[in-house]
Amino acid sequence: MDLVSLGQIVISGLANGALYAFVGLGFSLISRSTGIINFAQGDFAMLGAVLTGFLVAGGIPLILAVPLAVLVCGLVGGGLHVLAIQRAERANMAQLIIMTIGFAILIQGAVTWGWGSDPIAIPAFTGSAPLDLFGVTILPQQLWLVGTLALVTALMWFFFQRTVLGLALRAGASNPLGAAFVGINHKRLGAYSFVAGGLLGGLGGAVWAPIAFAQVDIGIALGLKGFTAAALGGFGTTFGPIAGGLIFGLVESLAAGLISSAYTDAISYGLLLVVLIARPQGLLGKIKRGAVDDHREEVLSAGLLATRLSRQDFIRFSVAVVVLLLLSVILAASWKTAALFAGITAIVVIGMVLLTGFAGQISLGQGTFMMVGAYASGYLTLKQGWPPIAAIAFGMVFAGLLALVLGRFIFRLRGYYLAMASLSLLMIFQTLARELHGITGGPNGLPGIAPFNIFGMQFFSDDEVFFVILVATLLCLIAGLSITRSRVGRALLAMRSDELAARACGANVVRLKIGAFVFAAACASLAGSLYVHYLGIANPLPFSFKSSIEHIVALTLGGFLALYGSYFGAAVVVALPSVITTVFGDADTQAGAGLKFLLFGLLVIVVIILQSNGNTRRGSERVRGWLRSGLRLKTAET
Amino acid sequence: MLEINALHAGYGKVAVLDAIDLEVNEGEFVAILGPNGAGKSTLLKTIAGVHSPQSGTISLFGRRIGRLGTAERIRMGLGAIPEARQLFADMNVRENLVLGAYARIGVRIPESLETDLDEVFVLFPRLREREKQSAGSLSGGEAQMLAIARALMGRPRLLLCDEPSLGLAPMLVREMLGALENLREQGITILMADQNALTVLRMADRGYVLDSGRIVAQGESEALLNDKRLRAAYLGVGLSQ
Amino acid sequence: MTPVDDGERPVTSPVLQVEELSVQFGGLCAVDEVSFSVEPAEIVGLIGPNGAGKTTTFNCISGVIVPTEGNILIQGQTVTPFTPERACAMGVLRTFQNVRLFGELSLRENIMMGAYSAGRCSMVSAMLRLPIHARLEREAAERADHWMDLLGLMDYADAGATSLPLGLQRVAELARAMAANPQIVLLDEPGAGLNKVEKERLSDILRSIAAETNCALLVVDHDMGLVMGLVERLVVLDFGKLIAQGVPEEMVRHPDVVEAYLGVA
Repeated sequence: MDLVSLGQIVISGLANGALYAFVGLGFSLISRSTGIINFAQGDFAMLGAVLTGFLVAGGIPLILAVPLAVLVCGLVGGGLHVLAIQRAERANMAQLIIMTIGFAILIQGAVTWGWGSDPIAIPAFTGSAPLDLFGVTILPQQLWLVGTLALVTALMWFFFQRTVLGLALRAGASNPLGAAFVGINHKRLGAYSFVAGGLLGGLGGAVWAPIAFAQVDIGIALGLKGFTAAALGGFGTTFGPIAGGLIFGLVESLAAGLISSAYTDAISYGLLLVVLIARPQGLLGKIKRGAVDDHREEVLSAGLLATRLSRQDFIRFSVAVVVLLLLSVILAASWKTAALFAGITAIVVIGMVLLTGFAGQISLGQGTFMMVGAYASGYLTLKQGWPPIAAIAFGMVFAGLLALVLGRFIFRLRGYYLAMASLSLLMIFQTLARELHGITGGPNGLPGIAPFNIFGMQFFSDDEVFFVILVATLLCLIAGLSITRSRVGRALLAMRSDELAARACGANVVRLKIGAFVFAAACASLAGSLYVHYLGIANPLPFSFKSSIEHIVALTLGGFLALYGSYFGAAVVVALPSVITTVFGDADTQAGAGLKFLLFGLLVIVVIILQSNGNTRRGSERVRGWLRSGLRLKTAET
Repeated sequence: MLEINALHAGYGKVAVLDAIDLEVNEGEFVAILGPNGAGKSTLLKTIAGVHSPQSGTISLFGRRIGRLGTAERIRMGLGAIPEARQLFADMNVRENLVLGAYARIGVRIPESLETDLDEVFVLFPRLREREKQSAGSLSGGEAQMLAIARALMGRPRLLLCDEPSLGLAPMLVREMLGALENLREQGITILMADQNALTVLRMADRGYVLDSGRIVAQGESEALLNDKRLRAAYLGVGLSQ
Repeated sequence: MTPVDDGERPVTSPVLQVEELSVQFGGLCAVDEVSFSVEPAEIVGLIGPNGAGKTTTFNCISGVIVPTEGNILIQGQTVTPFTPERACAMGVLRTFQNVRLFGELSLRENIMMGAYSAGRCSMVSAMLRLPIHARLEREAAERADHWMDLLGLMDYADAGATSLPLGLQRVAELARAMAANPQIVLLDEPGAGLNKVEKERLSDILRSIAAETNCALLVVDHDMGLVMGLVERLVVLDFGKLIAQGVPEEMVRHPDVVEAYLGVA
């Protein structure tokens, strides 16, 4: 490789890194002043890019379109804080973070609904004739991007060191109680930081857009990479995200240029995973020492949950069995397919109830473990001739071990590192699944997987598969119930309400969290296996980040602590597209898909607001009841 | 100047303040005494607007302030030195002081702020020497001065002090109390909560004794000091007999 | 875990030994070479004015913070790293200054949680309801019933723990600690927020526990009224240093103690 190509790689890496830095700055700004990891940060950048493209296409000159788009992003950021986060005052941190996932889905859905998901070309600010520097070509727009970043960095430095508002934001991050005593209003500060986050993201997106294309799909990747930038550099630092962004951009670009473009994602997310495990405070960050971990989360009471199997449990379980069996008889064919998928999703969500509801950890990558199950079943039954049940068991054990290893590193620290770690793991596995042709069959996957069979019985038709999934769901439900109603479940609940007090009672919280994670991974693996046995093919696509979104939505709708709610949440998630089709026409169009995500986002936000206000149970049950009656109507129509 | 009627406050279902009536007049030095957990800090937090009351009224300078935010109250002339100081440890002394004026200066730093800073530095010369040091690196005595100075930057007429002697050596406690005495001579009204009953009552005009969220005794300092029953039960003096 | 076996210690060794404990927070010495010990069944008061380092010492003994220097020996043994869960495993239980019961559990479940350290049972054995799970649950229920009965909490067994009045919550927290069959219980300001009657009742309970179970109690408080009537020995801290220790009657006459408490008059 000659020096010129290397220079070219470095230049494009730095330019991309500048964009990641913009997103990372937003992450760190919001997390510093509110403690929230805002998962919609990448979507602010995406919104900035798409809006600019939309405005330019509408005939507005670029010089007006960019500031306008950036301003809208700021308003969206502030609006989300005022209308959603401030309404959920008593929500705990995990719920607020899930709420920002709702924002991300909402923005993506709205953009897709409004403008579709096709790429939009945007003219460069000052022509697209490349400059030549010793043979290395530089796009003028790349200079614009780096220049803007430099300017913003300087402005931010000035803002934080010299302006009252900047001082106030730092004060709020440094000592919230002290800040309250000098009259700093934390609500207003939170709104300001969300506005700033929106502006930063929007600006990065708008300036970057002419280099590539503005497209709704970049939101997720930008969010992840921006988070990586912030995590690499250190969340608590002002300029760490810039260093982190540039480093990450370089690594990504070098990995693509020098090693293999196919493995870019695996390498760059591997880097994030390594950082999260080895240096969670970031390269520039410091871990605060000496402080007593006296942190106690305001926990929304779920009422008194008896941790003993009661007669009520048996009654509820029997009702669930009867209802599901009845469904298998009365459901029409098309709804039965939906019910199948709902059952598969429900199995994943049952695991997440333990992980998120009971152990308080957010995973955005249960798709990883579904893939483990899917490929274990596919590869072992097709290529090795294993019986399906053995392959399923192997997948569950393997997924559990994977969770065990990851959990050992991640749960040493308090916080929400699992969210990002699981997501990067998912990205790595997606790459591996596409590239390891020998085992996974590449993007085409492993076709021809036989239907599930056991003891010589084949389960081929929808009716038969429904029965298999029904049994699997009920088994997971029993396992989940059995854990939550045991002394381990009691310890999980105790840990949820007061971690320090639980430790003082001898509960090993790391082990408990790992246990919940392993259970969730095994459930997801089982779901993945069942999925491929039903469809007959194992490929990476169904387990992408979009599936994580569906899991989170289903979990939120069903209730974080409600095992029975899992099936309900899953049913809504699976049925919503069909409902949209019935009401608005074809759901397969872009607009239909956009509307689906828009509604998912809204549902997540509204349900969390309702859960966090007043009587938790009543709030979510009202929604559930309302949704249930809505569903019943739809079912009756078909 | 400050009038509190039938104030109730608490955290969730746990009641901390139970029907508090309290009054502070212009120019007075009033002490709130009582054991740990009696509700002193919650009372001061509620007056400062950092904690919301469940019921009851608070009037400041004749105006009901129950619904006003802390910033509003500071603009009206209320200043507070919170328990354990609550400084911004990773920011420097100067930045801490500027934030003390946050409520009244708005978004831009006015020219006049330099004069205000100079005034505070005259009162506490040691803070000028430490102007660029982070608040977290100050010694206990210096940190307490910074806490007082930060409250003064809001130009208070009524100053709430929550356990300013916490963690200070006796000599520093005297120095700190001297500084407060000084402020009082300049016309600042002081409402101070402390467990160090004897020293505080010697300075105060009047006192309230709080126990389990109720006011169990009140009156002139002299009278409180001479009340044998109170001395034994609350002022921590009984043990030396 | 690296238990240091020190075979030469006699059977009647102190249940807790604090050896030259020092804790520094960013240059500030919160605790400075403090040494003291507690014998089985003894009630010791750790007192001192606010900011004297009581809470920091307390947090070291309960494994919440790691001391800068010095050792903490439980029955002659030391364990590194010393964490809250290991403290519990070695028989060191604690209560909290602002009572911390588990809000989502009933009172009985809270106290059963105290018996969590009675034995290890993995999530798998809990899920499969193996005999070990049943045995541990039976044991936990028995201990919970025993302590609820003894401390008069039976009537509230199924109530939400945090819905009880503060006085009962303090007793419940004590029951939760006792359900672990501890060697020593650390009580962090047990009298805070209680009225006179409740304080007296709590003192009676604490005395009878120490007398009947051979469990030592270390009471951290600065409420002299409560401590004086309760403890057999006082350890007095001021500015991070141990300034005196001995029987309460002597301590109140000790000039350093009087000065620390009353300031220089």
